Amino acid sequence: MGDAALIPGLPDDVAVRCIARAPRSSHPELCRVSRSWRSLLRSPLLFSVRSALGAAEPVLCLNLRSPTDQSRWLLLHRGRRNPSPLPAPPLPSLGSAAAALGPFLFVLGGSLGGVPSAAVQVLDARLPRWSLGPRMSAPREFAAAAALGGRIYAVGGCVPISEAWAESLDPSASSAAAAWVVVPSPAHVREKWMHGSAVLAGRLLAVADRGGVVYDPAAEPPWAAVAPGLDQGWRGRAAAVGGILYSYDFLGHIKGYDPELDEWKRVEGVERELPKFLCGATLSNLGGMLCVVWEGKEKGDRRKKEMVIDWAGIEVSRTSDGGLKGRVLWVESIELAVPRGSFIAHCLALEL
Amino acid sequence: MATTGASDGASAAKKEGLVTLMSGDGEIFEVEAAAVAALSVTIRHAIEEGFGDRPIPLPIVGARALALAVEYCRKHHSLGGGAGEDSAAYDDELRAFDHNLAKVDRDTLFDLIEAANYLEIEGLLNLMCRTVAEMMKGKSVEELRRTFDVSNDYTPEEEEEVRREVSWALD
Repeated sequence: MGDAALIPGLPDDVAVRCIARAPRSSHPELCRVSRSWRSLLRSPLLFSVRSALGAAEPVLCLNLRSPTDQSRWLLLHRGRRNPSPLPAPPLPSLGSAAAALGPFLFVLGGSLGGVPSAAVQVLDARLPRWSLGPRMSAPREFAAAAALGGRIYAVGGCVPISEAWAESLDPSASSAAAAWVVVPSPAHVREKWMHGSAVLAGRLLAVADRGGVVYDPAAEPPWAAVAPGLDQGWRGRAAAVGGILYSYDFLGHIKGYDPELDEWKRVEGVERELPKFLCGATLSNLGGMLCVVWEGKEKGDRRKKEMVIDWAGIEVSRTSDGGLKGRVLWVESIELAVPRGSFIAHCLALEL
Repeated sequence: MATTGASDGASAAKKEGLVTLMSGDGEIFEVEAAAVAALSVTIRHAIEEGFGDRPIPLPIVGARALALAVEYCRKHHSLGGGAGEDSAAYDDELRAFDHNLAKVDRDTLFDLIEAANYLEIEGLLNLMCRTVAEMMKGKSVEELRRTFDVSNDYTPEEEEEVRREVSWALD
């Protein structure tokens, strides 16, 4: 076994390129073909080739928290009613921050038994398996986190006097060499609690009470206050798609912020396909498409104990007069094996 | 059209800007050096190494696959690059050409992959690998094994285990 060609008649390196281009939705069937197909589909090599060929597909990773603080991690797939469950992370942290890079999800800090932690938990969604990463220099709870320029950043969520208020990690370094590096920050930017973060035009934005901050590694000085226009309209979780930052406001509108105009514009044209108000709406960038996830209304049987979430893919284009026009490409409903009243704690796009 | 001129390779190779290729089954092709050298790394290297006036032997490439590969190089050389005002029309024509080229039977497809791999024609190799990946969509395990001539080396117990293992991912 193992000696036979993956596909008789083709060199193995070419067969790998062929199989790597097959869509993920066909992987379960492909796994069943033979031992060598299965081990290829399970290997890190497959993802590297998929990435290199531009064939990696975005998937949405959700973390739901029940009213009794039970936590569940899942992957959502387009066109399938059932999500794939992910294993539970080794540490049951609450209030962690999360950032995604390729097939990896980084869960930073959070409180463990009521005490903020510096622990870093990494999910490799290909396997899927969790491992512990290098610990941060500061324990954090409700920090801002993002991937920027191939590095993972953790900002705030710790005592403001901490010199390690912001720090970053190069996850591509070998595990022995990977270590967090303090990102120097002036004391005056630190006095705040983070509500959300995003990366827009190569800059890390963190929304906070008492004014958001922006970190631009290429600027001098790298830290600044976010533009006043941005601060005013940013509510909760936001996602950047195609140079625009999207957020969902209290009035039930999806709004987009254009950094060049320093203005929020309502995304028009999505009212018909979407419910009037999206409960617990959270936004993300799913492979260049704006993706909205919200808590669905229980349809029919009100005694049902499971939670339903709905999600939609929206293509947004700029209109000639500077507005934003949305087109709802799909809306799907997913039943989750979590108790009703759970909420979406994290929602990030990974690549597989 | 794959070959230019019917005269024998050795004399025709002296024609300006032409290079002579010899397929594994001994067929001679005279083609524009610029077109094939632009697309095929292997032929570019052979020309650089002074094969210019002798036929370049391509031992593992059959005549039929070589003819198709040469046609691919010509088309992409003349229309590729997309410069000029006709670039959109050229793109459409190239897409249609690629689309038609991919409609070959399985054996020709595999021969063409082997040719593209040996000749190092990256675009053709990608096109053909995409075609193979398309053939994997929506097929059952048995259909996949038949299409790609892969024998099932799972024991019945393993097969059942893998089926269970992947069933969570299916509806």
